[in-house]
Amino acid sequence: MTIEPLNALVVDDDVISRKTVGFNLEQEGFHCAYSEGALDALSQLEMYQFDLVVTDLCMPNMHGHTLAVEILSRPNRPLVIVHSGITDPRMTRELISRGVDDVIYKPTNYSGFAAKAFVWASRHRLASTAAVKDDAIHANQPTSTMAVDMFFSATSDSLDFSDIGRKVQMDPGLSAAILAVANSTGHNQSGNKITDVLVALRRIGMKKVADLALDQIRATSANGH
Amino acid sequence: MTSNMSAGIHEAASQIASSGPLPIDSEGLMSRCLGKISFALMLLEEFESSGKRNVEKIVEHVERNELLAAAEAAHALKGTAGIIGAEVLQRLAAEIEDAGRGGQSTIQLALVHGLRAEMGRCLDFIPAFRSTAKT
Repeated sequence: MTIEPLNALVVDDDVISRKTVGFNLEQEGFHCAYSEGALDALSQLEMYQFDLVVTDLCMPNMHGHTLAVEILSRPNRPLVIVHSGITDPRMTRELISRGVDDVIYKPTNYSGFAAKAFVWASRHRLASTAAVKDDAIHANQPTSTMAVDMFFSATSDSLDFSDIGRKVQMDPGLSAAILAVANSTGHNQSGNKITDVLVALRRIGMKKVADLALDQIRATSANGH
Repeated sequence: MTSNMSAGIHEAASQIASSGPLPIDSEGLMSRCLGKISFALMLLEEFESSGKRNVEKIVEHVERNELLAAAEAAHALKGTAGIIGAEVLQRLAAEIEDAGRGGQSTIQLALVHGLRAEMGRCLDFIPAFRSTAKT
């Protein structure tokens, strides 16, 4: 099956904002297109399919709010994330209530944002694909959904090992990957094979677990499941 | 290698800033650029031209008492300055934006002069950052 990368459109009249967002998204594996304004963005949306649109609000000719609302009204719309210097919670509430998927404020942690955007866009594409196929999403992609849950659990501030262990055990692919790492020479030099997933989790640490979950999400996305 | 170069930049930045706080948080900038110095330099090059232009725009609008236009230009500068890591400049731009949108009859000229001076400090800092990065 052909691997189709995630496509993002970055809309901002300010070149530094545009390039910084795009650069970080590209490091996560997105293919990025750029628009200096909302009107050009609408033209690009007519021509190409995007998984994600990141737009500024204050732009000449057409406000980013108008662009976001226009995109939200479309069938099979991409994820819409607003990236703005406007931090007024009333604006955030308005945008989120209209269906905007997230609002981030300038400047933000761009690598963290791009990492989250990758997971969201992957999940969004999975859901869109499933909807097109008229399949039940939860029945169709148990592995990827579990991997996404795992990723968020493993990166959560409040770790619950038994909850994470339970989730891992429901995903044979992820369990196997975690056990394989835990039994590698870098983590287990005793020669006694680790077979308990909870022991394996503690041995390799949550950062590695999150990486493995992310690998699985990427693999699922690339295979078009 | 990148981390050695970054360390050199931070050291140079500290020396430059011995008389006061850094005009640009080079560590924050490098973090937003994922440690890629070529990308950081490209952003700074953009900032040198667009930032300076924005400051002049703000000054002109304030002198003509066009407060909303001044606020809009300050809003643009605030975003750019934040990404570059020019924190004092970002704060001053935010203050001018708030003043322009807040229905005040004037914007304090001292605030605008402060903004211009801070932009000067940022522009003075960039060549040192650039030469350290290239060595």
